[in-house]
Amino acid sequence: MNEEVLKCLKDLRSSLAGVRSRAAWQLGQLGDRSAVPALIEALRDESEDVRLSAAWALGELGDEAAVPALEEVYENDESDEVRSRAWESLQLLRGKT
Amino acid sequence: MKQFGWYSEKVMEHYLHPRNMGEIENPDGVGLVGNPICGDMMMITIKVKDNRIEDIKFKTFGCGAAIATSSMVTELVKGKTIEEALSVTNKTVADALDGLPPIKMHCSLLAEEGIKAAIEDYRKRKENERRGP
Repeated sequence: MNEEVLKCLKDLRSSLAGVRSRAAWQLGQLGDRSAVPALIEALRDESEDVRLSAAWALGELGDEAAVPALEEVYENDESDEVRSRAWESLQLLRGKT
Repeated sequence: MKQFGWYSEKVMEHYLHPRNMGEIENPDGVGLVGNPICGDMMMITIKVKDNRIEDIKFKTFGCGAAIATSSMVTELVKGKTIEEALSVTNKTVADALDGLPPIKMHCSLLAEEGIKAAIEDYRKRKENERRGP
């Protein structure tokens, strides 16, 4: 795991939502699938921005292990934006199978 | 107070002539924050001397309000102590800009969090220095 990924994983535990949100987004850019469990956890973050970034990042990383968690978000998240992003990521992941 | 549609004259002034834009070389702290809903990404770098923010610069990819709030928050905290800088809230930033449209208030929150993230990073670095290798 490279240093940038490690930094982002640390930032996902920041007390600042803007830091967590940016870290989740960056993890999607970096393409390291070892971040998937942390991003699945971030789908339950209290901040809508963080959940949105995590849902997007999981689609980018392309790991089907995220499908059940994204399905749960698609069905239950209170935010239209987050549900919509989860649906788009699910399309990406299901397209891979 | 002169308005430009939804935006105050001060917002327009800071958007068109942003203060403290750029990146400090060898900073003491870096704050990276983002809001994926509107795609704003902000980086704030600080230099700290004697517990005061001696220098501060920002780089923001985002809308005009995000650039104006970044610019304003750097002006508000430059020369201030760490504790004073931490007391700056998104409302302080929005008020200093003579207000923001409600839909752009999240930009001021990003500016507040950008400063806090840079200070958090500065404190972590200091702590790591204190502990040694």
